Amino acid sequence: MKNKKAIEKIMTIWWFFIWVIIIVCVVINVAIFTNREIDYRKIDATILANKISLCISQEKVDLFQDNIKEEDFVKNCSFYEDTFTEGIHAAKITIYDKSKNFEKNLILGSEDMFVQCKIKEDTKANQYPDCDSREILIVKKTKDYVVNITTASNLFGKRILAQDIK
Amino acid sequence: MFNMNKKGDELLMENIVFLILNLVIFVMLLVYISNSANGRYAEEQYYAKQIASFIDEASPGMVLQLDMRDLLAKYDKEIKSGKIKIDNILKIDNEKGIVYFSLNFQTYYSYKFFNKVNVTSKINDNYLFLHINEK
Repeated sequence: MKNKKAIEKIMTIWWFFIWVIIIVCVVINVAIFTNREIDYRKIDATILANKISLCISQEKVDLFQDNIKEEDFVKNCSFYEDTFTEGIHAAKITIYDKSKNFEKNLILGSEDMFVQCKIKEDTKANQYPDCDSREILIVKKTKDYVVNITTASNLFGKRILAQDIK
Repeated sequence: MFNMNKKGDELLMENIVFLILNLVIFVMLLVYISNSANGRYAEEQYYAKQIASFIDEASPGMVLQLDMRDLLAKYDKEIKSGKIKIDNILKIDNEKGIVYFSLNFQTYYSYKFFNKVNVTSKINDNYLFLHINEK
């Protein structure tokens, strides 16, 4: 009688573990199939390139100014201060004249992100950012300049508990 | 006789506790599967990202209008019963630049935007209005 009771107790614990294992498997499977991240990184990189090109064409920043810095872009183009410092967004701006006598480069954020974009094109490594590139033409003192803007985004969202929001 | 009853009580209690635990776990599992299966989590993600990208492309002075008729019709029962509060569906943190979107009462999907503007939101007549102001 005593042995039977002990076996029943062990069985109860055993059954509990079986339930836990089954539930964990179900949750993992459901999560894999339904909680896939909608990949918005390419769109995000395009919007970032739009914003930078608009800012340049509206002359909110002067690309010909000496010592132009990331902070000038952040301040004058209305970006949040952490936009280019968290390794999520980056932008590379190259300005040159058609004869290539003049060329200037400016990098906002981490340059590594553009290398990762190139790797992604060849290897389809999903953890690397998506990039977008465009060229705009600006005229300064009757001279034409080409501005090449390349942007990168590796922005993902996250799920948080309701009580963690202020 | 008394001893037997005590043993019986213990056994009954153990089984009741075990059953309640199983029920609680199964209800939690069913809620999770139901939320996932009806696309709730995917919709939260989709709307958070859409709204963030609208804000990123907007300029101060704009009022953006987003048609939410289908979404609100889908969750009409829960909105009417008070399970989903319409004022709590969307929250925007203008200090950090984050959009929070939720169609359940426990979690929010959060997504960042980089355009430093001041956004106020209101859902009115099946439309979401986003007022973009200078910061």
